[in-house]
Formats: sequence, C-alpha cells, structure tokens
Amino acid sequence: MRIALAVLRRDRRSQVATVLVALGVMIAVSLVLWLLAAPNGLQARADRTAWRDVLGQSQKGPISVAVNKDSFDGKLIERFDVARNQQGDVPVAKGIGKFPEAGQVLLSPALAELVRGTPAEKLGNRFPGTQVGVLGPEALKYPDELVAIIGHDKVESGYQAAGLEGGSGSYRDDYHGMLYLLTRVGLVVLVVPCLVLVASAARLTAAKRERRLAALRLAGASPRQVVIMTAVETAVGAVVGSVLGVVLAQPFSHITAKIPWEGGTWYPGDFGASPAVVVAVAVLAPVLVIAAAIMGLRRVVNRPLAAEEKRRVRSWRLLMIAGAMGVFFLGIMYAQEASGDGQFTVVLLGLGAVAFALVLAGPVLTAWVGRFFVGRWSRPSTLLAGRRLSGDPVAAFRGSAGVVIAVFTGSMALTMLPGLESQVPYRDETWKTDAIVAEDVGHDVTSLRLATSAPIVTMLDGTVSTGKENDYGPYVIVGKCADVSQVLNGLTCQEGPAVYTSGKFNGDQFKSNARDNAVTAKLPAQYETRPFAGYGRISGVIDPELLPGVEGKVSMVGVPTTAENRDAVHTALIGTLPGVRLVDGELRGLYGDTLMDDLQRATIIGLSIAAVLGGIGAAVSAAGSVIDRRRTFGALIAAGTPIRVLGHALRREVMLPVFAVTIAACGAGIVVGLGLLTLARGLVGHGEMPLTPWVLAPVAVGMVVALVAALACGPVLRGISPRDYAAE
Amino acid sequence: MNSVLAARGLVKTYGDVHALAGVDIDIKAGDVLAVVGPSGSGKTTLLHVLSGILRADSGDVFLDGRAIGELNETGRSELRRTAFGFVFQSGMLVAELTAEENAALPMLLAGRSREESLGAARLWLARLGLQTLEKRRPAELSGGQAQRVAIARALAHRPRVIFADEPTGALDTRTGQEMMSALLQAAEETNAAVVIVTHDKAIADRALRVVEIQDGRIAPKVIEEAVSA
Repeated sequence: MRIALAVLRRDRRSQVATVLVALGVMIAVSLVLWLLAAPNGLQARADRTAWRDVLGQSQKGPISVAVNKDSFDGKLIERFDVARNQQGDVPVAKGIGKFPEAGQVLLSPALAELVRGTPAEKLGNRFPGTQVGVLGPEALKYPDELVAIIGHDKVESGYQAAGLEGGSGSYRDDYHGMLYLLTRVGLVVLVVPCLVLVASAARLTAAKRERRLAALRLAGASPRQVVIMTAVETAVGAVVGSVLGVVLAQPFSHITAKIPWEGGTWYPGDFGASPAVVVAVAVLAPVLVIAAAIMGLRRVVNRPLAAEEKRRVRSWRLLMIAGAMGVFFLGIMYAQEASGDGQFTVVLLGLGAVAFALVLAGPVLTAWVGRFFVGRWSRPSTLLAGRRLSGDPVAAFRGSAGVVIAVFTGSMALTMLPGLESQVPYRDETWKTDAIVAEDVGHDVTSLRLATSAPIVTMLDGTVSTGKENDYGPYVIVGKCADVSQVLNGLTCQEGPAVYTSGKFNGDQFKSNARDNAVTAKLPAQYETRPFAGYGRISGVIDPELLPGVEGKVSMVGVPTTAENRDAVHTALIGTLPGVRLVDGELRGLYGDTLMDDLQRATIIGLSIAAVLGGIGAAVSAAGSVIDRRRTFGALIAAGTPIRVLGHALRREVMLPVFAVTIAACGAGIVVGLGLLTLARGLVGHGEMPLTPWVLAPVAVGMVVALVAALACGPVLRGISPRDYAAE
Repeated sequence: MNSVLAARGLVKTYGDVHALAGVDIDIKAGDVLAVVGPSGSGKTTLLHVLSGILRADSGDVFLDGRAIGELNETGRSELRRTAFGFVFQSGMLVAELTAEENAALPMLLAGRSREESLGAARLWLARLGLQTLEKRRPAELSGGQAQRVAIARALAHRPRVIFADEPTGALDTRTGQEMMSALLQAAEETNAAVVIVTHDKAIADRALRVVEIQDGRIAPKVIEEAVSA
C-alpha cells in the first residue's frame, strides 16, 4: 500500500490517471443516480394524484365525480365535477383544503391566475361558483398544472366514490404500461454506457501499470501484494469520484426538474433517489472500478512475463449477440402473454444482454477490421492503426464501446419513434377538427341553446346488433345527416331518411349507450343504405326516422365552431352540461402532441447523454492509450515522426472500430426496436411499424462523436516531448 | 575532410543548471564518437541538441555547414527523419508492428512506397542476421534482437549521422558487444557517422574518439583515436 501511495505522490502520469478515474466515476455515479431516480419522479406524480383514481372505487359512495379533460389556449385542464350523494364528512387528500359543496370551486394556483386574466365567457364560466380555495402542491401533478374541482348539486354521468383521496397511486398502467416499459428501456440502455465509462476509467494507463506491477512480481511481490497495490491506486480516484458524483447528483436532479413531461415540469424533490439507492451506488461504483482494474491484472498476477503479450479474441464472441437476441425475443413473447411487475423483466434482461454482447463482440470485429487494413495499407498511419487494432483489439475497442452503445440506442429509438407516433390513441379523427362534441350527455340542452348562438347538433350514440348475447355490433350515431355532417367526418348527405354505413349491419336491434335508461329500437326490414367514408370509431349514421321511439333522445351534443367562438362554445358546453366528457379536436391533438413531444424530448435527451457518455469514454480511452504509449511515441517523435502522422493513426484507431461495430450495432438496434414496437403495439392494441432511412443516422452521428473524441487525444499527443522516450 | 556535423558554442540551461556550457565538437563522415561522463553531466542533452531534438540557448549545430537551429520544429523533424538515425535504449520499437515494419517505418514516414520501404528493411534485417525474424513483433524478440531491429531502422534510410543513446543499457555485456559490432559495421558500410552516449567504458572503447562531458563542458582530457575493436 505504501508503494502504491508513493507512486501516486510522485508520478505525474499516475496522478493524471487518478484524476481521470475520479472524473469518469463522478460522471457515471451522478448519471446512474439520476437514471435510478427518474422512475421516482413518475411515482411522486402518481402519489400526488392518486386521489384522482376514483373510477370503480366504490359502487355506492358518498360522492359522485365526473372526471374530464379540458383545454384552453393549448394547455390541458384536469376537471373534476363533484356532488355530494349523502351528508357527512367526505375524506379529501392532502393539498385539497375541503370538499367543495354545490356552488363552490377549488382551482389550482396556475388555473386561478389564468381565470383571473381571461374573460369569464371564455374560461371562468366553465367553473361556475365561488372559488373557495386553491389546491396545494400535494394534490398537483406538476407546479403549473391546471386543475379544477367544481361542486354541484348533482353530477350527471358521474362515478360514485368514497372521497377525493386514495387510489392506486401507480403510474405502472398509465398509457397501457407503455411509459413504464419505455422508462425501463431508457434505464437499461443508459446504464450500460455508464458502466462502460467506469470500466474505461478503471483501465486508464493500464499498460504502464501492468509493466510496473509485472516488474514488482518478478522482483518477488506476491499476487496479493500486487492486487492490493492496484486496489489502493484505483480506489483513491474511484472513491473521490463516487463522493463527487453523489454531490453532483443533487444539482443534476434540479436541472431534470425543469424538463417538461405530460405538459409540465416537476417539483425539485421528485427526483430524489432513496438513501439506500444512493449508498448502494456510491459503494458499488468504486467496487466495480477496483474489480475491473484487478480483473485486468490477471495476466500480470498469473504470468508476469506475459505483461507485454497481446490478448487474442475468439470469434465465438459473436454468437453472444445471437444468444442475447434470443433472450430478448423470448422476453417479448413472454411479455405479450404475462402481466404484473415481472412482465417486462425478461425483455429488459435481454435488452441489457444485447448491449453487453455488442460490447463483448466488438473486439472480434475490431480485429477483423485491423487485419483488413494491415493487408491493404499504403500509409504509415493506416499501418500503425491496423496493427494496433489487430494486435490488441480488446484495448483498441474499449474506447469505442460507449459510442457503439449510443448508436445501438439511437437506432433502436429511431426505429420505435415513428411507430409510437402511430400508436398514440388520442389521434382520433372521428370528428371534424373544428367541432366540439360532448359525450355522456344526460342533461336538458335548453340551457346550452340559450348560452350560445352556435348551431347545436343533438345525437344519440349506440350499437346495432342481432340482439343476441355477446353480440355488441358496430358503434353508430342516430341523427339527422344534414346536422351530423357538420361535426362528423366522412358523411355526404342526400335527401330522405337512410343509413349511412361503410358496411352492411348484421343485425337490426339498436341500443343506446346511455349508462342509465338505455333506449332500444328496431330498424325497419327495408331501408336505404348510403356510403359512409368515416375512418374513426363510428361505423354508421342512422336517420332517427328509421328508429321509431328514439326521437328526442340525446346522449351527445356536437357544436361546429369558428376560431372566434371556440372558447365561448367550449365554456358554454362545460358550464351548462356539467360532468360531460368533451371530445375536442384541440384536446385530442394536445394530448397526442404532448405525449409525442415528451417521447421525442426524452429520446433526444437520452441519446444526447448516451452520445456524450460514449464520447467521453472514447476520449478518455484514447487519451489513456496515448499516455500508455508515451515512451514509444516520444521515440518516434525524436526520430522525426511528424505528430500529425501519429494523430492520423490515433484517429484511425478510434474511428475504424467504431465504423465497423456501429454498423452491427445499428442493425441490432433496428431489430430490437422492432421487437419493442411489436410489444408496444400489443399493449396499445394498434399501430403501424414504419421503418425510415433515419434509423441509419446514428451511425453517422457515432462517427462524428468518435472523431471529436479522437481529436481529444491531440493535446495529449502534443504534450509528448521527443525526450520522453527516456522517461519512465 | 569537412565535418558532417559540427557544434559551436552550445549552451543549454535548465533553470540554474548549465547542462551545456559552451560545447564545440566536429564529427566527420564515418566517425564514431563516444560521449561519456557521469550521470547529469549533460551528455544526453548534448545528443538531443546535436540531433535537433532540443534547441540550444546559444550556439548552433551545423549539418553539412547548414545551421539546424534556424529550422522550425517541422524542419528539424524532417531532418531527424531523413538525415539522422536513432538507436535508443531497449530499442523503443513500436510494439504492434513487426520487425520489418519497424525497420521500414522511417522510410514510410519519409513518403517512400510500401514495397521500397519493406524491401530495404528486409535487406538490412538480413544483413544483421534477422532474416528469419522479420515477421515477429518486438515482444517475440530477445533484447539483442530488438536492438538489431532498431539498428536496421536507424540505418535503412541511409542517414548521415546515427545517434545512439545508451544503446546497450538494457543488454548484458556479451550481447551489448555484439550489438555494437553490428552497429559499427553497418555504419561503416554506409559511411554514416555515429554518436554514442554511454556510461559503459567497454562500449566507449569501441569508438574511434571519446569525449567526456563534465558539468556541461568537454573535459580537458579528450581521448582521441581510442582503441577500436
């Protein structure tokens, strides 16, 4: 231990290596802590909004709640219309001051401010009553969330609930479990480059250390002494780096809290990792670094005379990619059938295995590339690089591993993104974009007609079936074609009563969808069928004259709007038909766009982190390899070798394996991306799997990152003096 | 006969230390000069200044009458690559390259073709008795064999002057003497001058001339025409 500490005190290169180890571990620790805390952020939001999970809580509860989404000026509003069913205390969650009685309103601070600054007919009238308080942060998903709880005498179409509290508080099933899957995928693919960075840091200046330790072994040092020396030398940098990483994770989590998700940013405390996780990461990181350094010494410990020998890599490593792919696809098959917490475990294990297999197989491809160039070189820089790649492919590939994983991740993400876009279920184009449609309407619409001069289209929704058990039949609208066509896409009307449908109905029994008091009617034996070109949820439109007994029944109200009256109509609908569910083109687009924006932003952030990690890993390795060969480079420079030639060789050393292995990584990323897309499609129930040329873009980006990283060894190279050949 | 390499009034200081304190020296073609002296006397600094690795603070070095101190780093690099050859302690071969590629490296760096460079390298390796080892890597060679490859590398591009810095420092006495014989014979064949820095008297004795450096100066007692092998 004394020798190791003495080396650290006196040897400048060992000091530089220790600083680099500390930096590498610091970055890796802070990133891993951040990644592990990311699901905590989603969980913190889920915990705060657990009170909203009132559906199905109770068959007969003291309150009724209608949960709806609304929008204003491109912002989503969460709306809860509530009414008391019986007297007595109503339990409320933290952040909700009291249960709002009829005529009372609770608003979130951001919504209260928005209401104050907006004409009442555009927004405020949507929340009839007196504001009796604001919702606290404990009841909000994010700081600027727009939330309203409006008290009524009675809520039509509401669900019974025990109170405004409780709920599962889990984001596990949000969006059909897809977000849960994506956060885990992000975790796996970003943890791997972190580990690669740690390993690269641990192997910095390994060649020099191996020579010194081999000399000590030959001088009589025992394997245990050599291992202790290595552990001490590495531990100094690793422990310092780990502590700094934990400290750095704090400001890092505050920056993360500024990144919007689902329409809003986060509370700073959302991304706090639990103390147990912090301790585990802070301890495990240095242990891993020390273990990697000791593992790298096996040859010196076992065969000190072999310190200068180069390691051979076996081609069977390539089979590991096929094996890992097998595990991954088995996981996909399992996840499609299974459910619960373990649903995605095998998929994620397979994903991690594919990433690690790429790292393990990389040296094989690196050696092949090296041999190819050794056979075809014409310039000394190509010869130097080719020989380095074929002679010590493990060391040559080490720096490229992070970039390769970044390319793998990038290709996977770019394969998935277009497919995910098609899977966003809120991109429903049933209704015209300028139409606002209220569903679950059980109200008298007279007050609505009085509140707005816009045309009101009343409709009744339901199904047409044979009437047999388990035959639900297609979903249809009953309404006058000339009226319905103002709000519904794909309807071209002609004179006279008819059924507009894209295909013939099997049955003739109409049943309305009303939760209470459903009406039934029978279609006549003969009726005229006309084409319907709608491509949304609705399969047909039936003129009410063909269904005697349903006249005057209303379950949906549609209003065609203009840019000028849109907010006013929206407000009138919500204000006069409390508790209805509004289907609004703006709202649909807003939700879908927000989700896609979130996914794209998360992808860009994730890929940027992966690319930066890969670049740092490559730069650290490239710089380390220059430090390791300082004497040889010094001798070459002394003998007149231009630094630019050595620079070319070093750049080729970094670039060539990246080029070869990233193509393989890109292929693996596409295959894995398609697998995950298949799984996501299974979860959501629909969607396409388009493949665009952009999936190849990560290869080009990987090359650029590798080039930038390779340029980082320039200053180290220029720092070498021709007199360094004599230094040791 | 004119000097191939001449030094006039070389001064080089590191802080308060006078590594060279006014050195004059003349080296003719085919000359073999040993520079000896105690550790820290300035002999390696002299080799570095003579070969253009270092610039003198004052004074200059002349190759065929041309001052190399006037050249910039690129020019001095080119000079070292084309006019000089180097043999270092432990060979300092490039670990990844084979023996023939190591020997061919200076010619490749000078822009000569792959075939020409490797051909000349193989020729020199054969002259030095290494014809069966040309595909081996440095780790697969003995210390003496590696130094012979270094000699082939230093001579293959037919330099005017060969600089050898403790060339036998890592070898046993017998191997060291064999290596010196190979170096001197090869240099004689190309009429190259040889400047050897050594603290080994037995090696210095193989030179045609010996200069001793003490405190950055050539010692008053200069052993001319030393016993050659």
